[in-house]
Amino acid sequence: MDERNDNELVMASCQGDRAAYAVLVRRHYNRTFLVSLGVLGHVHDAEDMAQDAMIKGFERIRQLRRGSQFGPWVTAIARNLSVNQLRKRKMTERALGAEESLRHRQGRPVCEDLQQAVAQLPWDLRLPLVMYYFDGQNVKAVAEKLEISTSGVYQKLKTAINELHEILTSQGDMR
Amino acid sequence: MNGPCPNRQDRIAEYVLGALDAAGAEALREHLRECSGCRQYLQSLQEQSESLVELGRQIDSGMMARQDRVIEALQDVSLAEPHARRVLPFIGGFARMAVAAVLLLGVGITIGRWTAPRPVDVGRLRADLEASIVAAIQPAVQTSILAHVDQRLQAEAQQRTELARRTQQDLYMLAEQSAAGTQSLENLMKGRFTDLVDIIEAGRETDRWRVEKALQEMRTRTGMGLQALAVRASDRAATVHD
Repeated sequence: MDERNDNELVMASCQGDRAAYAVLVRRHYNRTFLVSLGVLGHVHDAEDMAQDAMIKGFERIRQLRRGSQFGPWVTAIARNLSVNQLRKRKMTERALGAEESLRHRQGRPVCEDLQQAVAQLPWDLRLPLVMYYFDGQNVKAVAEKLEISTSGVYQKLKTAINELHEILTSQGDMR
Repeated sequence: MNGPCPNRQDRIAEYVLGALDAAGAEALREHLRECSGCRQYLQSLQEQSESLVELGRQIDSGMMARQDRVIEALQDVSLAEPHARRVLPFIGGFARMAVAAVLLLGVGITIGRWTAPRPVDVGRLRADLEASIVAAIQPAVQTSILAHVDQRLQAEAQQRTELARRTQQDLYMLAEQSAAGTQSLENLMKGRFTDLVDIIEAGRETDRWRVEKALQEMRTRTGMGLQALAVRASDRAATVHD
């Protein structure tokens, strides 16, 4: 296990040391992935975005002024990429039209599990939910990361789990 | 199955999240003992929460493989050159474009001001035109004055000729009237000398009056020229401003 801190690893990465950057990937990939998952809701999309964020992070590592901020920096890249991807997806769905979109939904196995139900939540509810349940962060940490109050986080989590329950029970009724 | 009490759903969710204080949690537990719909709702949310945690574990189990794929993909990536650093790294894409547009606009205005014709200096223009008009008028005025002076000299010469003719006539009369006595001759001579002095004085007065008139005419013409110049300069300034 590499004992160097993030700043030292970033300095080495700036010299093209891929092994040093690989250590940074091991340390920070999970949170980057979960942020992408929180925004996009689909594991495969989140994998693509998290990988893109890590690669962009390596390409632009010389632009990072403080190596100790690598984690928040690369997570922000992942979040921006994911939000852009979400916008593109919504534009595509709009372009397909409501009828086609409905047919598309009906043609696949609808919400067979919790993961698909999570994917149906609005992303501003899904992101704190993923950070709280999947990443194991407490409410205070989630509030700091999302820059909202702890009561705001509780409100979003409460709404999210109520909506999640509604989605899951409505699927049960449809079956 | 009865649903939960609508006004208790949020409280139950808060209970699951551990967000209720001791008194609130105890009050809800008391309600749950009496309400089967809310009990079932609580059980459902708790199972859902456990499922979410389990789902998180499942997702987490694939993390190592995902990290391996990222590290493998990095082998084909090279570092961007240092000059790729953003000029304004603290602002986003749209804001950066807006700042660039404002800067371009500022540069355009600056260049436009440099290349635009300078505003007309009305005072300087007026002084230049005044000098040129005075230079144009002055010779004509001088010619006019000289003509008046020549005319005056000619008139004076005629008066002198006339005076000489009358003096000669008087001398003839004097010769004829020599017998008339010295007293009448002296009186006649005094009268002629007085007439001569009056003629000279009248000539001087006339000369002074004509010079003054000529100068007055020069001032009048110069003033009219300057007035016309001022009008034209004002029109020119108004046209430039438009």
